[in-house]
This record gives sequence, structure tokens and C-alpha cells, in this order.
Amino acid sequence: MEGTLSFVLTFAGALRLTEVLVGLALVQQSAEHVFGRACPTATGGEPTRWRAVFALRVLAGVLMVFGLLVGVTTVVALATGLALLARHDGPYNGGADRMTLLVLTCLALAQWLPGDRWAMLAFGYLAVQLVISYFMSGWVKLVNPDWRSGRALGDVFGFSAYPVSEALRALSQRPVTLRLASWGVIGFELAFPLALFTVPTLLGALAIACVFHTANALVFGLNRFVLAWASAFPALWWFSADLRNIFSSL
Amino acid sequence: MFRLIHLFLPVLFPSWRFFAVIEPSPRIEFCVRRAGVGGELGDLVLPWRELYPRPARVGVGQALTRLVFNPHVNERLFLVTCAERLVEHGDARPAACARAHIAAHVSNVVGEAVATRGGVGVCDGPDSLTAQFRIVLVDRAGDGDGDGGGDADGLIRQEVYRSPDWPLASFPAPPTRNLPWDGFWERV
Repeated sequence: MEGTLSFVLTFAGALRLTEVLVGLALVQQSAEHVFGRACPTATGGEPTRWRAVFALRVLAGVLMVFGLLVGVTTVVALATGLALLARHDGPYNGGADRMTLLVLTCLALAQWLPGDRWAMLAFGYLAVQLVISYFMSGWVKLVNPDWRSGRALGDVFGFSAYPVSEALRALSQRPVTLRLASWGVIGFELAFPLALFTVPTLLGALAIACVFHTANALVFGLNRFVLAWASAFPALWWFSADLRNIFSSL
Repeated sequence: MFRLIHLFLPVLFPSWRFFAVIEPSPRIEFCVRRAGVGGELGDLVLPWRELYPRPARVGVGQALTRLVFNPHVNERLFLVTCAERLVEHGDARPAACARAHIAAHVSNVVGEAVATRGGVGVCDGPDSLTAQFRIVLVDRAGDGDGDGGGDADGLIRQEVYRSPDWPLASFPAPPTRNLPWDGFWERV
């Protein structure tokens, strides 16, 4: 970062921070397949050749965290990610895998494209997609009367496949809580773009986002979303400084 | 290659329309029968039940562990994705891998029960048993005010897909373990 008071993240700093966070995401996601016993095989583990692929991703993630061979490891992580996309005929874990692949793609382009301009363009695209991800999620909820009334969130708890325990289904019987929670989520997601205009509001919004994703992980089992989305935060932190400069010059 | 490009484009240009509409939710249920004769289905030895039913509660320690390491829940969520593909495509080719993946899980679960209990409540080995699974969609009944039908909890269940049955002996038997088949969630 440049200076201890400005809290502006340089492009190089944003790249490095992204490498660390997406490296951690890779380790987390892939370790579940290397060490987990959730597969429908005799041992409960992945078939040998795919376990080797996941072990390679764990290694790539560790190297990225420590800043070793990052250009090569990013490409390896992206290539194995595409292989897994084909294996599962789509993302294994939905939005988390999509965001991780998007981060790896933009990171690889930023690392390998010639010249800073193209690298910054690729990395800026990631920042824009992160903002859109929150705003669009909020918009589709705002225009749905079931979300405005809290009924949609009640349905998520009442009969969707997401709640991690049957005890959580009791939350579907609390209409006031559901309506407040729904408007809290809608408000946060729609207001997210406005947080870019100052550094404190941006960092505050990112902190709230971390809490939001962690809550989803605890309640709905979506643990991969936490690091997947967090790995895109440095890109926005860096990019928002350019946005503020543009708006202040208008 | 074209298939991979088709899968990769939504990554580059995502829609981000999370939970825009809460669709009916699929549940995977399975049963075990004695092998039938002449193409007929045999008698039920294990009635229809949900594959990997959700636990009643999750402790704080387990919840915190799952923040970092959560293979079983993530695999269950992938099975939901497989079920959704079957609902959309039925027995058409795009859902073939999804059907095989669900069948493998059912076979593994039942195979463990046979290996650990010496049978599924009766003295049967895998050679004489067949398995079958179905997809049941769960949705809110009517307008949710209790007057639109549905069961006691205001939900309606509709079977939308049923697989052909297959012999359990066609899958390798898992090693004997000291875990009941419904102890899936305690293995994290």
C-alpha cells in the first residue's frame, strides 16, 4: 500500500493480495477432494487420477500464497479448473467455482498480457464483475415480491436443499425476522456500488460482505463462497481509487 | 472443445442472478428390492427413503470446522445439481453422468449397509438385491396460508423422475467399516 493513511492499494499490491487469497481458496477447495471421504467409491476418496489433479491444485495454491512461480501456478490452476469444469459438466460448487475461475482468468491475463494497460484492463474487469455480482443479486430480489415480503427467504429455509440442519427450518416460521433479514440483504447488495466513493465505506462494505458470506457458509454450507469472493476484493480496492479520481475530476 | 467453451462462457460473462426465484427443491430417494424375475421388479426390502437426510442439528464445533473443511456438504450440493439436471433432461444424454453419479452414491450407501450389517434387515447379499432411485420435488403448497393442500408442514411433494433399477452386485463392495449408512454426516 502507498502510505499508511491513504489506504490506496497499488496495482502490484492488489495482484499480490489476490494471489494470496485465491491461493488459499484453491487449497481449501482442493483439500476437500484430496483428504475428504465423500466420493461414491470403495474408499470414499476421489479416483486416483483426479486426486492427483486436486493435489496439484493444492500445491499450486500453496505456491501462490508464498509468491513462488505465480505466473506458472496461475496457469496450472486455471487449466485444472477448466478440466474440472468439463469433468462435472459445469461448476461443481456453483457460484463459488465460477468466481474462482473468473479470478484465475483475470489474474492470469494480468500476469501474462504485455504492458500495464492490458493487464490493468483485465484486472479491472474482475472489479467490475464483483460490483455487478452484488448489485444484480440485490436487484433480482428487489423486483420479486416474494423477496420483499420475506416469503422467498422463508422458502429457502422451509424446503430448499441449503439449510445444513433440520433445526434451521424452524426459521421459516418467523415472518418478521425473515422480512427484516431480506431487506437487510437487499439493501446491502443494492447499496454496494455506492460504497466505492470513499475508502472507509469501501472497506466497511467489504467487511460486511465477509460477514454475509460467512453467515451463508454457516447456515447453508456454502463455505467456498467466502474465499472465492474475498479473492476478488483486492481488485476492487485497487480499481476504486481510479473510479474516485474519475468522479472527482468531473 | 466446443462443450468446454460453452461451459466457460458463463464464467467470463456471469449473470449473478442468485436466488432470483426459489424453485421447487429436489430430493433424492432410493429403495432396495430383491432381484426380480423376468424383468419384473422384486419385492421391497428397504422402502423409499431420502439419500443423505439432513441432521437434526449441527454443533458449534462442527459448524466452525465446516467453514474450512466441508467435503460432505459440498458433495451433497453437487448431488442436488445432478438431480436438477435429471429433472430437466430426464434420461436424455446430457443427464447421463448425473444419473450415474447418483446411482454410484446409492450403491455405495446400500453396499455399506450390506457390508456392515450383513444384509439390509434380511439375510441378503448384494448379488440378490437391486436398487432404484427417484427425484421428488418439494415446494410450498398453495399460497402458504395453509389452505392450498400439502402435508402437515404445508409442503407438497411430487415425484418427477424414477431411474431403472440396477443390480447392486455391479458395483464393487466397500470395505467393512464400523459406521452405519446413516452416519454419513458424522464422518467430517
